[in-house]
Amino acid sequence: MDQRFRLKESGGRRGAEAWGFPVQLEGDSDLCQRISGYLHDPVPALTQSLDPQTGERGTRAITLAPGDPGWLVGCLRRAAQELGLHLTEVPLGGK
Amino acid sequence: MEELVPFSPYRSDRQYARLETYRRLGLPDATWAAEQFNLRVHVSTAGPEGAERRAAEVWEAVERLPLQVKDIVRGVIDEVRLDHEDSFPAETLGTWRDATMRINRDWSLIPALRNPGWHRDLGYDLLRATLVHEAGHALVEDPRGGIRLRDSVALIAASGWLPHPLVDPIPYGPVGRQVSTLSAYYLERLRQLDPRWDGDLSLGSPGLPSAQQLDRDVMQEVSTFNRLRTKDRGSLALQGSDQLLRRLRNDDPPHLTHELAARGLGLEDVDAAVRRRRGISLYAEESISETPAEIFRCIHAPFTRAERSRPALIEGERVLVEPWRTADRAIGARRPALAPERPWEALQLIRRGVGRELGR
Repeated sequence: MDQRFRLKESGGRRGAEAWGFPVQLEGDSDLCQRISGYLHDPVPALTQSLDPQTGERGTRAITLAPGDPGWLVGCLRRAAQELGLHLTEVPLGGK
Repeated sequence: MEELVPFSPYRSDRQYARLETYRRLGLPDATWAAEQFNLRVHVSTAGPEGAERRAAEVWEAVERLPLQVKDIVRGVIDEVRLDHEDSFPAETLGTWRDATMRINRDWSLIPALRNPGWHRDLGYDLLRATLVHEAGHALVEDPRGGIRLRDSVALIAASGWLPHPLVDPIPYGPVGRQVSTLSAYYLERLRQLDPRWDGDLSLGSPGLPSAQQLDRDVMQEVSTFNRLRTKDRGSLALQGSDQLLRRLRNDDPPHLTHELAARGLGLEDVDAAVRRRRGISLYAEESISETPAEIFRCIHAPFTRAERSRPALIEGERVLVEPWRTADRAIGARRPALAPERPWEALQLIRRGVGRELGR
């Protein structure tokens, strides 16, 4: 059961859905083609760190490689931002 | 009767003088840090060149912090250290522990930050975000103040943290529909794990277990080291909603549906509960400790990524910002001071070299 995302044009009717790895794309062909250009590179993410020995907590900047958890949504966020799309997640068990 | 909001323990009626004012007077940035924030400053000179420039950037980021975060920095941080990359675990931007904030001065060496475009992808001023984030840890864990455990748990509940429905279905029923009932339920379960969890005290107070134990008692996915230690006591096993969704989607759907039905739940109930309070970002959900800091940040930039996080924002507003608002109403809003609030003689002393004792 893959996490599935929907991208829609703001105020438009065209949309596409993306899921899985290798990433599957479905929907408006032009939109799918434009989105696919964002689905190759690593993406950055912030996460936390905790040193159990010292108790020191911190913030880490990491790189998510293609296929890592969170990588797809990172790519899609970037695509949504640059292409002016609205990104949502398809509900659990739905399509 | 509605509970009265207390003043923030960090709020004072003192004005802040700007960094620019000190620079105009020819005073070192470390003097500004010492006088305005009671901070000791240490800048490591090991590693690549540019430590001074980096230090200046850090102080400029501190200057850009909202007043409330400045109050926390002044109230709970005793020392800021700009340390060389080697002294941190890999990829670390900054850390906080026991009133010391450490900032990695060599971000250019962190692989994820080598591509300048990625700063934009992460969505905000990273240095400022790191300072806010570390101040958020302090806000939750400061033994000299901090927010009450009850409020920390409410923030966790409002941010969408839930157990796996097959482990504990109760939060997916009526209890989970209100933040107040859900957080009361979590707090009661915490007390069952360890009676020392007192909702009226802040983490770090004497008699309350440690912040690390809160992680263990609340979360399932802590490090192996910690998981071994929590085995006998159990855990609420809460997960951020993104993390939980990933896990649910990896389960075998027919089996999951069958198991949920045995507990009186359907996939729709689970989905509704998870989506009711989606977290602010993936970043916020990797650890409970991130949540207050993220909420804090979002409250100060309310139009960035708040759309789907309304309960968390409302709770964050109540817990994190209202105490300052109460103080503003009682004492009056603050304006920046026009000059350093120190006698001129003291400034002269600093000019004669006493500033070196302050870490410069």
